Amino acid sequence: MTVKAWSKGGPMVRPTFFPTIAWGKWSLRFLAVSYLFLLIAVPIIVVSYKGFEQGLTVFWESINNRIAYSALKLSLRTSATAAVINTIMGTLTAYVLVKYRFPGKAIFNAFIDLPFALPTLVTGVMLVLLYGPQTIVGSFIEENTGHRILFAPPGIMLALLFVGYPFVIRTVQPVLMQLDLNQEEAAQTLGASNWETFWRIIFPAIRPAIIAGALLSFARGLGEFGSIIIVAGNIPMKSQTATVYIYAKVESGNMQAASGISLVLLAVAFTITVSIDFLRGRKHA
Amino acid sequence: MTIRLDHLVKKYGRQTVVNDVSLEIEQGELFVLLGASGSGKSTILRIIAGLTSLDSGSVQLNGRDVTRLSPQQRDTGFVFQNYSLFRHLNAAANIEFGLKVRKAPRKERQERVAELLRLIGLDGLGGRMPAQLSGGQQQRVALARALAPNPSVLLLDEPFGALDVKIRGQLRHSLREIQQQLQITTILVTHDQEEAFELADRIGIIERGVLLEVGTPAQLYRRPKHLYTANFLGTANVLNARRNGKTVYVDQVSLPAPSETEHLQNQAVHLVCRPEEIDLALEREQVSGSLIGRGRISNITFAGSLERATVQLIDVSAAKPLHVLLSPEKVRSLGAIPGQEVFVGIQDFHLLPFQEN
Repeated sequence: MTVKAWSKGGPMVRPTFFPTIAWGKWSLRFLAVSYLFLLIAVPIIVVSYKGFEQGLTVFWESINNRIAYSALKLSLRTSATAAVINTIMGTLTAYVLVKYRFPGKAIFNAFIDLPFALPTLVTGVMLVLLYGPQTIVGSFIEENTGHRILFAPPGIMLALLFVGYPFVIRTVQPVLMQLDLNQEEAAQTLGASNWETFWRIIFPAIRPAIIAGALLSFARGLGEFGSIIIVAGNIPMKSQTATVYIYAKVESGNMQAASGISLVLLAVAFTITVSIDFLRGRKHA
Repeated sequence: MTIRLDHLVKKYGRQTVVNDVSLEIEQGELFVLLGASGSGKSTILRIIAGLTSLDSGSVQLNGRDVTRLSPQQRDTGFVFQNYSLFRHLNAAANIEFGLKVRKAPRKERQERVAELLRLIGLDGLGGRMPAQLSGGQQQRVALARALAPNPSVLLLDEPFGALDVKIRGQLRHSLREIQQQLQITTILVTHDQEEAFELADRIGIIERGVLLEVGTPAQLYRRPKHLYTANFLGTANVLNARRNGKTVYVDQVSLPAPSETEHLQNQAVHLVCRPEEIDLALEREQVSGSLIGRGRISNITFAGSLERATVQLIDVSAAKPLHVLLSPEKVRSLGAIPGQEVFVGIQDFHLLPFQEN
């Protein structure tokens, strides 16, 4: 077919030595690489330029002021805590989903993916309706513990737990399912208790997946905006996370300050994706 | 009696996979459970190890009723078809695993691992990860791992099924040696009758969850009690016959009945005869065994050391073609060619009660 097209329809089919297929290959590569470049690299370059435009001192000041620093710290702290909780509960959930049968399991399994698809603003609305100061649950907790849930760090935690929950489950679950059941049985016939079997056999096998899931959950938390702006409000030094801080700076037209914090988040995100890649690579080696 | 199974029953839904199986196995015996895939033989093995629950019946190991005990408490060594080594541990650590969970002292563990690595012929390879070992080596490690805590019984579930023919032969040989050296009571599950013959002290034939019969390889091959066994173990020629007095009638042909088939008096029977027990000759007088009439060679195929021929009987109507094994010498003296007419003699045969299949 290709040859015919090159020979311009004449009855003589002239063999061609043009490397047509190689051209196709190269143009495909060119297309893919330039798309990646335009879509991801260019914006990164621009934001880096903006961040450092007025020199290192200005960049340093844009992140090393009390408000920005506190926002960054709040983001890292809540994301890390949420990631730890999500990792423990997510691993547990994945284990239960793979190993046990219980009524309603299929529906439960389907519900896990909901935070992936749900607009996070909706998550925020749901949390406000449940824990807001005027609601039964919210006022009960505030009266009995003196702690406010909404417009405070606990509210951010709740939002991050919600949006990050599926990550660990969905990274650990497939690995658990592929695990050779006979390995566990071998451990048992050798005298290992269920607990020992988990720690010595199952856990080492799923550890890379758990770490990858934890990192994803952490990254998700760091980038979360929609639900936090609703549940946490925008109180500097108190409930303002890094993303909300960036939003506030953009709103007030201070792009330099927005770029500074953005670069920090970018660096963290990049470190995480590289780590996950490394984990995956090691698993296939 | 090291292993004693009493009326084991296991059902999955409405399907009975193990149907009232009772069995006794002696100390030091290597017993082979032989059956087609899906016959329930692996399930029996898993029930003994406690990996599969049973619906009724009991399991005794060394006189101890273990029916209600967990796999951890049963003191069995189990080897799986797919090796199932712990992927993140090296060969030595795999072997050591059972000793470690039993909290054996470090020095004792190291000595035992070294001893087992020698026993399985992998001295010096203890540091290799499973992925760096061949299939045969992995299965050797799996065997050593199962043996490490000195279990009272060794259970092997199709242990050589995933290996190629040559390695399989070597491993069978090593297994037999190790088993005899340690005198450990062993049950091996397989669907490979050659493997069963080579390894077994006794064989149990499993068909659709039922333990049909138990015997030494020679007993089951020469004097099976079931037509299924006869057909499952090698090739069997089966002719419809009738036993009257001391004579067996195959169509119009009469043969002297084997004396041990007295209980099949005056009834329809199957005459079962192995291919190597059939003799062909050009002259009536030269046939050894009992003459069953004339036959016509329909096919000859080369099968290595012997040649395989099929012979259609002429004097017996409605008989299926007989499978015959011929030595090269016999082939030469017959000048055997397809279409040739020969006299057919049966040297040894066996009778089984008639059953519709």
